[in-house]
Amino acid sequence: MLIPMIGLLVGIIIGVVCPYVLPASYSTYVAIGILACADSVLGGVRSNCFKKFNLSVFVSGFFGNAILAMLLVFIGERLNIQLSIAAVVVFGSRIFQNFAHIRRFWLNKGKKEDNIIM
Amino acid sequence: MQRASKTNENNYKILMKDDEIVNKIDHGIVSVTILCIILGTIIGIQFKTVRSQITAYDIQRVSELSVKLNSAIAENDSLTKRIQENEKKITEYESYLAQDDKELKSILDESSEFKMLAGLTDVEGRGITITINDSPKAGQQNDGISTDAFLVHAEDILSILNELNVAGAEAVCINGQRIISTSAVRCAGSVVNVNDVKIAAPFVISAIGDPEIMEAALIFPGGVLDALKPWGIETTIKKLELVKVPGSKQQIDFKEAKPTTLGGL
Repeated sequence: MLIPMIGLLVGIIIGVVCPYVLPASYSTYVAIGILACADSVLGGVRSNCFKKFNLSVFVSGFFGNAILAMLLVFIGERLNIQLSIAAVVVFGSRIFQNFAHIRRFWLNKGKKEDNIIM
Repeated sequence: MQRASKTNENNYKILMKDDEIVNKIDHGIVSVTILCIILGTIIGIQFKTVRSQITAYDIQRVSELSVKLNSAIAENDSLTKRIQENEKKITEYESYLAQDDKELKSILDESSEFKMLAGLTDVEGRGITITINDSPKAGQQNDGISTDAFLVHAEDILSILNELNVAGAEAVCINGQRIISTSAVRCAGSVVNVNDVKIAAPFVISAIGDPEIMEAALIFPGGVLDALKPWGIETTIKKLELVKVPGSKQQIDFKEAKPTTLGGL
């Protein structure tokens, strides 16, 4: 699990160093996309822990969730509702859930109990 | 032989299984890492984007600026006080020197006359004060009529100023701002700028001159105040025996204008 974290750090450094800056008007879209991607990554780590990892599910989730979340923001802007809140709530809670699973997996690696069953 | 091969097969199967598991985990970690790098890149770019945005509504900045503004106002006040003190000292010195020197005295007399002409000295005398205030209807809902109509505008003040000057006003000030040759009265949103100083209603215009003539010039039927009446704008004129008009604190710097004939007054 150390390698993905290093990868994340490397990515952040690349992003900060690279001279490209997104237009400010797309800032909401990117933020929602980041949330969706973070959820997917944590989900991937979690499924890795439980050896249920499926590459196609992971990759499709990574890009699909991000695109769907951005679409929600786009539609919300057109309809004048903050649909982004729906994405924030869902992905936010899922991030915590995924993290809880990973946490329990690592803490109870030896024992076979106290794992959240979903 | 068969047995051996079976064991071999079994071993192979176990190996394969292990291989598969290893492959699976590697696969997972590799793809997770790759996507982590992508995610990190996006986060980094977004971080930079957010940081580069100018946060115009930053409350901290607003309070910082307001503190700076307050200190500048206080400094301005203290400097104005110092100017007044120094001016007093100068006049004291001048009068002290002029006691013996007749030539100097005549020059100083001339200079004070010029100062008065320029509107730099505080003056007092007979005159009137006109108080103009926004209509009480301004705050209410007026069907179909814009609230603007019930407010005192810079144009109203200017027309009153004009009438006063026509009626022979010798010195005029609006809310303490002396009107001199370069003075401007200008609309500035909800307030009026006089000599680059923001003033708000109620506007008090003090004018030194013949009170009867000036009052008549303002209140005659169809005159400037008559035109304001329908909108409910409150105007009160007071004829006073003593009106004080402060001198101008404006500095006039002639950058372009040059006298054509020397000494020609």
